[in-house]
Amino acid sequence: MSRLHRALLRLLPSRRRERHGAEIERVFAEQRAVARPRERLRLWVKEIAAVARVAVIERVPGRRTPLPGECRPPRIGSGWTADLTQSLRRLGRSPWYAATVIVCLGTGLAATTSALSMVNTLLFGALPGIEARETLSRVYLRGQYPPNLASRSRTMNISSLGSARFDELRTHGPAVAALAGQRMHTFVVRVGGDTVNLPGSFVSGDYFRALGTQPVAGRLLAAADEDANAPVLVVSDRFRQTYFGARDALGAVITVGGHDMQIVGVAPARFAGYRLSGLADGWVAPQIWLPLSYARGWPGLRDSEQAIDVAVRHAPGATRDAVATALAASVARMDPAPGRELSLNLKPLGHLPQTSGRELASLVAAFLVGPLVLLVIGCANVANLQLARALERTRELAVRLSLGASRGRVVRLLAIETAVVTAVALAIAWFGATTMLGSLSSILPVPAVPDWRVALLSAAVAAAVTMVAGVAPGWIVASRVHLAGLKETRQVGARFHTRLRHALVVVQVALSLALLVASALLTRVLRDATADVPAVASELLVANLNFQQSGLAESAPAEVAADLLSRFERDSRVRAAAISTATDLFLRQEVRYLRPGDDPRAVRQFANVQDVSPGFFQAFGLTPLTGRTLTATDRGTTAAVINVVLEEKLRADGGAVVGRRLVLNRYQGGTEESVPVEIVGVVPTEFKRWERPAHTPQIYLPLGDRIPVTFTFYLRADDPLAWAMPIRRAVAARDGRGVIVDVATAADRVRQEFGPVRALGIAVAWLGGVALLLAAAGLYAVVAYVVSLRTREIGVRMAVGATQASVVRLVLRQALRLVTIGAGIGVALTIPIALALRGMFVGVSAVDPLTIGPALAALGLATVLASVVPARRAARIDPVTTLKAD
Amino acid sequence: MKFRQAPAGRPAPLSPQVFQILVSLVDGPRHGYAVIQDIRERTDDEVFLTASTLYDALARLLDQQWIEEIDTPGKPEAADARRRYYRLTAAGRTAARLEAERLERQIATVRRTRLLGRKRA
Repeated sequence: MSRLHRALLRLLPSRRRERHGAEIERVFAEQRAVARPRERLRLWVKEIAAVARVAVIERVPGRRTPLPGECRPPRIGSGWTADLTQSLRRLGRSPWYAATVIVCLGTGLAATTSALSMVNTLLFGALPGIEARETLSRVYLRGQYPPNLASRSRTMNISSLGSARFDELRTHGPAVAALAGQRMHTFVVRVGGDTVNLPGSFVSGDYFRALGTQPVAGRLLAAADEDANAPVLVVSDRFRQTYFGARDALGAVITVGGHDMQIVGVAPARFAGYRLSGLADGWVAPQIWLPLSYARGWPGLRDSEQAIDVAVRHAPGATRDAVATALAASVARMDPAPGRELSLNLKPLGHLPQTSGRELASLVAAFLVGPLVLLVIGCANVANLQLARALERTRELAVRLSLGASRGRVVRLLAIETAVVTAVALAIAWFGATTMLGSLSSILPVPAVPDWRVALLSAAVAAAVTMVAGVAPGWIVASRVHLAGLKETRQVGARFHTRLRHALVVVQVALSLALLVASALLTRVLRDATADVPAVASELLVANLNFQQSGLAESAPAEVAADLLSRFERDSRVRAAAISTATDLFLRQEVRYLRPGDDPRAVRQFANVQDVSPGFFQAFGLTPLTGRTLTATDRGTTAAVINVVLEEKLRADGGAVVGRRLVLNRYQGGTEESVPVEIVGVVPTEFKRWERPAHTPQIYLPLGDRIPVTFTFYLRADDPLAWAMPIRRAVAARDGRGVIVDVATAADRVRQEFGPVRALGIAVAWLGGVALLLAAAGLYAVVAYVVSLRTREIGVRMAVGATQASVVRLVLRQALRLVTIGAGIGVALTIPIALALRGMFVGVSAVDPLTIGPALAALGLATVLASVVPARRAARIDPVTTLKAD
Repeated sequence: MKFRQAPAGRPAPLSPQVFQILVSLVDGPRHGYAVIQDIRERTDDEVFLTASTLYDALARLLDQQWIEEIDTPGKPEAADARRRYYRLTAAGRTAARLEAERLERQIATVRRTRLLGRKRA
């Protein structure tokens, strides 16, 4: 504390410090030592105000120590500094009010500033290793949906191009300086004896030139590398550190997808290209960059695939429109599918193709909803406190007016007070945002710093709200009070004030409840995702096999699958072994399902589908609820098992679900085929609480002969990880050198998959907790304030014979009546909030007693405390003192 | 903050803090903390100074030579060597008296009205 005070005194001019610094410190320490705990805050606030005042006044020329014979006259106030001093003094006199307001606003502002700064950095900020972002644009195309696919909008955004279309773009007008094309891919890299899976990109020759990237070592790829199909690559700074450490990486040869390639350069730290939309699906920063010419004929890649992202560097002085014109000619040359026109859609770098689309809005909204809730709650609290305070100050304002202050002057005084509070809150918020973004910088794709424009913007919004709440009552009072009414102000305005006060409490309760429920709902939604992993997951081994780059024959996956099953199914220590055509535990193929009589063009019902071997159900511990599961004899038949989610959807038609027929529209090898199936059984969901799988309709079909190049092998045993090596060996025995085998327990995969969600859940839970505290504190402050305004009335009641208990009862009864009205409105308000959240998250119900109940209870508790504490305090005071005080 | 030049012969009003500091030094020299304590007790917590407020006022009073710093007060056994003590000068005493008289005159004018109410029975 002494150090804090010493730091504070550093604000004083040096001659002041030299003269009395030590004395001030000693005296203040003595004052602190004897102050009662509740006085200490007041002491600090007054001391800070005094130091701030001296620090300012002493530094203003001509405003130094007055000449002998001069002293400050008592003033009603004129001039900004007088108002400022008044405000500081006033805040010092009610430190709890000042502290509540500052904390409420500060928390909201810190959260909004951090979140908005992050969005701002992503959309407009400097990207690592990319020069002059503003003269870069993303090239998207706009096309039309094939007529047989029904869709809400006829046009579709094409964000990546096939190589033929990309080649068309390469011939362009002079407004384009360079094109940066990248095709993202996951590579199998053999480096220093390790074989690893690494994200990377094939990039066009001009890629690094267009982006203006400078290497930290060696050189970057150039047009000549692409033309000559040179076996060279650029690695990321992280790659160099991970695999080479202090050794020189330049010139080293590593094997990428079977090709030996030489490292010619190292990209700058954190350089990750220009594609930021990856943020939404989990950020994976690329580690290696290869010439785009290698993508042609790369195992597992098809040249016609629309996979090349394109950014374009504007020529010096060229506007985005000029660039668009230059590229439009290239787009016109592209070959659209019959009846499907193509057009160019040029966007600033970092913008999604659908700028005004729902997707972008909901993405940003989901990101900002928590912080904004905090800011709203903070503003609501402050607004209410300001209103309550303005009521209390009615008399003071009337005195000022009667002494000749103009209405403008009174309003200015109130405005300055609000501005002071907002400024302090902003300072705290800035500190909070810097700390928060600093601690987040390692997990963000782009290092974000708090943006002062963003901070000012949110502060301006907060100030506007609190300003209106703080100043408007002053204005109302000013317009109602006449000189002659000075003494009667309280009586004249009594009814108006009572109504305003009551309205205040009702509004605060309604808002608090709505916000409490919103934060509680969010917390509940995410709690499910963060729930502990069920027992079956820790017994289940998930092996993802990928034959894409293996160079093996097309029949290899089927042979390996059969081999794995026969080898492990027989082992007595293995409880179940199964093959699924799903790429991963969480990645399944989506199909459209049609019930008999459905119009194929109008129906958009989707389910996940996977072909599974009979052991699948045992591996996941799924016993049929009705009907049966799949057996070996189902192979080649139309039998299908569905989960309860789909069953519920189908049951809406009436009648038994088992035995019904469906038609699945399934994409296989680029064409859509219709597969008729017959439902033979219903099983529970594979996961009870994990969000996506637990809420998605699932269809299981018998595994046939056709096994895709990526599939999953499941093995259930007591010690699943012990089987990882045997599985790898079994695959390797088939000459599967190039086969990627990713083995992990289901529990680990769940953690990996839901790690980010879990982090988000924890963050939201924290935000929700803080929101709850703020809302309760705000409610407490307002109710307490309103009760304290009635001190005189309580005094009168006591004087005419009311007991302490009856006073407390009276206050409580009135408070509860208002709270009940407020809670009613609040519950009504929560329904649209819940509906909005339901659009964003799975599993939110509009009226959820489990969420509203505790929120109401918290609110009730806050109300009771807020009424009883000040009421008891008021009731303890001697009535005579109370009456005299007014 | 503008400081008003006092009209000739009549001093400008003093701020409550300055006035109270002067009054608390009337009975003899005190150190800073004692001044704060004395003012608090006398005014029943109505005038409450923190360290920085006090020393801001003391600095101005010293510059105006209304008070002066002394090494030790009269009674050495009561003195604390680490502390600085302040004593009222003749000018300071005059200023305090003039202010007290001014306040008295003000109150006297008020008493002629009914502002403070009739005497209670």
